[in-house]
Amino acid sequence: MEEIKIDRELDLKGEVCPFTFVKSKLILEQMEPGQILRVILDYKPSVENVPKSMREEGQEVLEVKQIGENLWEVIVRKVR
Amino acid sequence: MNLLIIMASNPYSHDFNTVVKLIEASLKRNHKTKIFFMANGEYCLLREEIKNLHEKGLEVYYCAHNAEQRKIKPESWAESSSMYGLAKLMTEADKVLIFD
Repeated sequence: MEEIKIDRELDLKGEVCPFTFVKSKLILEQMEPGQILRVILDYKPSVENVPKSMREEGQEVLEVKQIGENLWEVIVRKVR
Repeated sequence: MNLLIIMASNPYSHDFNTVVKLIEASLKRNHKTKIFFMANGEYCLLREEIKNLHEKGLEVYYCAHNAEQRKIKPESWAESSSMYGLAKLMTEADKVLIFD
């Protein structure tokens, strides 16, 4: 898979719903359309719901991947 | 009509019986009926009545965070959601009733 260029990274280890989505959304709002945000999560319910909420907001979820023991990354491109 | 019920009461409260009867009546009148479980309402997901109502057309959502806190693993017919999902459901609903 082609290497994705990350514009910003947000480490949300230790955070739970709803802050995982709220903080991701706030960072995304500061970014330019087309830019890519990488979010690090260690809370399973958030791994299900952050991507779902991002899609519902019209953003493009590029990848959801487990990167370690109880650790996931969610990669989102800002669309609007 | 699009009816949304938010259930935060435990499944052995009088609210549970009220909610079950309310949903049955709503489905009988062909209203789009949805329920969102949160807090101790998550335990209602373990009751057979909710599964039966789902099979009659009830849309079931739950707060994944509150379920995780209570180590509840809902079956796949219930949709994992969040406070964001709840906010969206509320904007879509004609009427919202909360049992807490």
